Amino acid sequence: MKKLVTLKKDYSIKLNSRMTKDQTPKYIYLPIDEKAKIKSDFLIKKEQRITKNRISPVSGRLVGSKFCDTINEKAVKCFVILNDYKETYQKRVASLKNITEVSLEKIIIELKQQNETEISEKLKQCKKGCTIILNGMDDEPYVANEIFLSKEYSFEILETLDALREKFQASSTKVIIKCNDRDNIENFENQIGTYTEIELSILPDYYLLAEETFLIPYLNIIEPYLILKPSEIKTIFTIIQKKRHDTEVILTISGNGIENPQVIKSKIGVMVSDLLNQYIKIKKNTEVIYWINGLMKGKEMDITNLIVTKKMQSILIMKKEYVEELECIRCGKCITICPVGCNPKKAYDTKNKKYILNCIHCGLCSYICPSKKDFQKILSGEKNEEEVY
Amino acid sequence: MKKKYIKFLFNSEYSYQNILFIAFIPFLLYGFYKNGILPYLNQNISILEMFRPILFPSIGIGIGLMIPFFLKKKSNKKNINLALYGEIIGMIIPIESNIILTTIIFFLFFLLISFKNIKKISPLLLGCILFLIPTIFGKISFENKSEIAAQTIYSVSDLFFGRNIGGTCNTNIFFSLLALLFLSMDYYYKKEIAFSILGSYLIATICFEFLFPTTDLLRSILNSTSIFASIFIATEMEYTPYMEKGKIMYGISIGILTSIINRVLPFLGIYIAIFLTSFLTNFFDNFAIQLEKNDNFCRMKENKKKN
Ligand code: SF4
Ligand code: SF4
Repeated sequence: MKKLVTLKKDYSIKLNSRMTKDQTPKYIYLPIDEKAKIKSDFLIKKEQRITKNRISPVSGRLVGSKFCDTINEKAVKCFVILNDYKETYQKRVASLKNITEVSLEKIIIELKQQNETEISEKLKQCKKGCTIILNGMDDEPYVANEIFLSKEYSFEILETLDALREKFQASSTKVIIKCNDRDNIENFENQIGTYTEIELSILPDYYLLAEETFLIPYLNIIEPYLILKPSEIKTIFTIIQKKRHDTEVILTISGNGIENPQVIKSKIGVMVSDLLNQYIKIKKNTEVIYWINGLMKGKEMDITNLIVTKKMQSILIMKKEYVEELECIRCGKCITICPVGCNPKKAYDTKNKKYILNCIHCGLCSYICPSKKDFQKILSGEKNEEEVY
Repeated sequence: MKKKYIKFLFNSEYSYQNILFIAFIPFLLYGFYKNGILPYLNQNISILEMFRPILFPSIGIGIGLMIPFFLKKKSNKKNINLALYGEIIGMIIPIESNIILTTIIFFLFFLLISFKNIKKISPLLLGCILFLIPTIFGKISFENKSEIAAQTIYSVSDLFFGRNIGGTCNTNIFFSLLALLFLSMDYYYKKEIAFSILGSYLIATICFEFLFPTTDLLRSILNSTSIFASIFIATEMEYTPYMEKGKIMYGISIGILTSIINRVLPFLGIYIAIFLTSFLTNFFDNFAIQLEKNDNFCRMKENKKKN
């Protein structure tokens, strides 16, 4: 494995210490599944399943449809739900039960039924006697979703983790956080005494260490393992113990273009522009650009019609500055830094993708290049095909 | 050139050239002492001539800064290069060079490279060769007036600590090695090239000396011009390989070639070696890429076997 690096950061970008909760969006936009037919003016309860994959995060009235953008698709037809602020809940899926009383098989089935296939698959594939790792680290600079989740729901997370440990008869259970996450170090150190089988590991602030591919060799784990993020554990807790649907996402909204960077708990389906208008103050006389899902791995997007989806993790609002893309100075740093041994320079020069076959789109090559070459757009195939490949 | 949005708050900045200006200060001071103060104290030169060692690099820097200014070019990395090129060339030319002629050549040369974008070969290297060509024909000597008058024979420690025949300010091997250590800490400096040149030059010189014994081995090894050029000129970023293995192959080739050419042209060998090897830069990179591909392939095969 190649040596991982610590990214340089602007420490003047400070997140508000409290998580903001956006509970009262006026409109919710949910992408319409194929063939779904729903009458207008239809009354909807909170957490009611509207179609197979869509659950309403608010109670209200269906008032029509609109074309919106998601991270992966443009102009997707969406239901528009007008919030009535009554919070009339759909009946619970089943009677309340503590997670310790629910069998592992039932947990897996229930998660699958709630469309949480990724988590249910993870649990299904894990063998008894494995190592369970709670990965509470965020890789992207200025993003702190997992950190804030761990802080806010540490009790629920530890409870669920301990229950899973028992169910899997785990050989060891670790909570992993980065050394610069002081709040959580203190938080977990105070609480972990109750859970004698869970140990706390503090890792250096290396970029990509939160990725399974790099974390497992770093921890030197050879036996079977199960890695879960605090957000996944919280989903398990919400679905299994609270018998509720997970209709919220944690979003970090930060960057050097705004005055009040913060982490927001938002409902799925909220229009990003509404969210920003309500909570975010853009710096005076500043032209900004919006990066969705991180500066390193994410992409620049137009937010006019963008809606919050489950896959959205962060919105970084950066000052728009122009720099000149210089000629390559053959320093070779883009190759040295690549954690998977690609040759982005050669791919850029020869327009041949065979030099970047293993690319994981980590963004390190663009980050390090002193000539400000933007490899990311090329690697993700966003640039004009003729121009590049 | 394309314009794009700055994405990262901290894109790496290429600061290597500024570091070089700092690294050269001790060389300039020592050059002033050896080729200026000492001959003056020995009453071989006048008080005005005492300043020749720092005059040449200053002319180089001055013209290097002046040309982009008069051509109304925006200050960019390339313009800083001219000043740096001027300083380096001013440090390697013989102390007895003609001041007016040097100024004119500097002016014409910088004018030429400002207009003509030379891609394959380093303009710095071309400049060095251009300024040193007269020395091949014995027109200008590398010795200063004191050295000519006294027919000095320097000891090995003298050679190492700077009393060495060479350019105006590049004779101190100790400072060169110290600068190499200092530069090795810089993120962008291609230290692999410098180390592989020095290593292969040392080994090749010893081997050749055994095969064809001629002069003093230590004197051949302690060639300050070759050591200075391998640290500061052969490692120039834009004109050298960027792959790890490519840099090493490039360095080894220069080291071996230098030790051969130095037997005939001891003050020019390294420049000719770099010039010749420059044509193979892309070949070394492509070869290194091929080697790495094979490495990855073998590793994949091993992993498959293990599984
Ligand atoms: S984006 Fe791809 S090519 Fe660039 S450093 Fe990351 S893995 Fe390597
Ligand atoms: S990092 Fe940028 S300047 Fe350096 S070799 Fe790669 S592309 Fe060229």
